[in-house]
Amino acid sequence: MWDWRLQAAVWAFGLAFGASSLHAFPEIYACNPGQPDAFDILLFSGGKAVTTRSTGNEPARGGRAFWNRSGNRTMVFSANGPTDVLDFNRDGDPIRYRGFVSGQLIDEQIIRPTDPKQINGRLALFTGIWIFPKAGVPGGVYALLRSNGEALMAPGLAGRWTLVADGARCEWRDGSVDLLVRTRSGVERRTWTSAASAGRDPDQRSPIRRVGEDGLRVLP
Amino acid sequence: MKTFYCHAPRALALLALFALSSCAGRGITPAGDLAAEAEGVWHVEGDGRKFDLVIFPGGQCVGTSRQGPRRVEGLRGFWRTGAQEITVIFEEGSSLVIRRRGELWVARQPALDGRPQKWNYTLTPVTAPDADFIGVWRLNPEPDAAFLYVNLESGGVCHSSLNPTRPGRWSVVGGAARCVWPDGWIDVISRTDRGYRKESLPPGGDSQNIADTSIALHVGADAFEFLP
Repeated sequence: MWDWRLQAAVWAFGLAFGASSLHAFPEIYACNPGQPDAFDILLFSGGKAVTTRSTGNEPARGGRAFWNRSGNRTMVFSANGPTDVLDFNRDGDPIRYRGFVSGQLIDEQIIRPTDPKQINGRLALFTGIWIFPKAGVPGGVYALLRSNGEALMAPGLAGRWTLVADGARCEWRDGSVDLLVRTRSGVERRTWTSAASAGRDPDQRSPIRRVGEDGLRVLP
Repeated sequence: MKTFYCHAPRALALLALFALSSCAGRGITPAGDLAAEAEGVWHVEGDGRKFDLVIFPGGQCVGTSRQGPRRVEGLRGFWRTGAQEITVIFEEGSSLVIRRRGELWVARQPALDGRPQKWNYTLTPVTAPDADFIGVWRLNPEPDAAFLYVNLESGGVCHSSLNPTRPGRWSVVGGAARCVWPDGWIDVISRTDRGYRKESLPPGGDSQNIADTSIALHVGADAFEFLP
């Protein structure tokens, strides 16, 4: 029998009985914090992961990955090549991050392991990849929010985001502002086309979902 | 300072590798001698289980295990190499660590609690011509728009997502995989100039009586797509 059933049972047990080393999903880890290549890994239940690492032609799309945990080590194999390894202490706190690129052995000694940081609380509610509805774009566009405040909306609109009293406020380089608000039914995006109008009613309201919350389909 | 100079060329090489892998976007290069040895089709047996593992060159793999959540559609995974071991992570979070032990290839599933596990799986390489076809194939869309999948296992057993509980038999005939299903239908998967195609023959028909033809995708040969 595959150990996914065992994992599910153990996670369920851990969550039910509050084991300190097990966290609610998604578990989010900031890797290389404070550095230019900072990004986050979001581990979802069921073996799939999303990263806020920008690669390829769609930087706001982030990465997609499969992950596995054994003992104090979690490995994340990304679809577009990188391998991420997180080591934890006995209390379940992340203590070391190592990143490997395509062509590297995943157990070789690397020059620069870094200290990862677990993202908790309200920051964890908004960090990740979101899909924003956009007129004329079926399925919407990706918006990437890193835990360090960096934001990027497809196709290439940069911005910054911060936590505010009622949610997460994203200010984009084109002057538009988004407020992401947790509601009973999920998360709502409130959009103002310019910062000057941000005190008024939003120009648009739409429900949005974080990538991974509803699972990820792997094709074919 | 000395350390920096020692590591600088290596760091530059890694940066170049990272840039290349970022640009490429699809397909990766598992490293080392093990990678070349690992690529191919393996029959995996142990812990009362049997399945085939198709290890593709670009860092992807597919298991024919029907015990995962996708049943006949198999299990998709990514694989990477270490100095001594190959690690596979499947889409539902399970993992397999493969190692060469002399002439033998063995594997174990890492335990969630990290305790050392026995190497209780053995891997046997499967050779051509069967190896060309073993794995999971995505065929034509059905009327409900869901794609039909078939799963060809070593040993000649095949399963279809149309009727997963009634296996068929398959073999290589004339360079093509010929699947004979319990209801008498026959599917033939053959190579073409542009990939593979499937032809379905109704019960009692001959090779001139083709009921339908579709593209056949060997799952894992091309980059997996993630939605969203």
